[in-house]
Amino acid sequence: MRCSPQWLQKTPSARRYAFRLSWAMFAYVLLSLGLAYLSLHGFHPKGLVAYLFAVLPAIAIIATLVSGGMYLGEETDEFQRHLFVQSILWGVGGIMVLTSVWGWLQIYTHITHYFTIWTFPFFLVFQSVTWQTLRWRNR
Amino acid sequence: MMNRLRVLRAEREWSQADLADRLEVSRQSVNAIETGKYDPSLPLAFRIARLFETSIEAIFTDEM
Repeated sequence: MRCSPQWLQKTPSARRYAFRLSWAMFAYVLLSLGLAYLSLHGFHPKGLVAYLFAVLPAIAIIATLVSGGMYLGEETDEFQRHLFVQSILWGVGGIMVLTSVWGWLQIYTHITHYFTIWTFPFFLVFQSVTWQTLRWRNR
Repeated sequence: MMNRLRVLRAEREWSQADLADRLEVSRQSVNAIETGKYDPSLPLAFRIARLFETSIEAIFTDEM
């Protein structure tokens, strides 16, 4: 017997997406913190190795995008697919608004510098919140 | 787009979940189609028409 509200219940493909996304985000956090830890403890590779280590967290980001693409390919319920695509559009819109506003604030105020590595986490927050909101509204 | 899905479903005394099972979609999908929030794709519209043994035009209309 399921205990969660019906609108929170996922299709099998959505459950697989949640599983893959969780692992990708776990890898992202682990790699980001791991690199920061190594850097703070004197690990400063040079040349090609430096480039390889620097892009490691980005591989986890790519994995999250691939998991989203796989979900769209696997989801047989077209309405659920429609909600997911809508949430991606909201995510893209949200991150564009945020970075645009922040960019102008950086020029004319003393706001802290915006690091582009925050773009994807912010996008994911916008997209996830919108997805759950849309699912709740269409429960 | 308007549709007669709710009427057709009621005539057969099916719940939204019953219809969703028969169409192999989520109950939310049936609700969204019934309330006009979402227009189904042509393949799904054909599946609905086939299930109710009628034509797509007899279920969906663009007229008020």
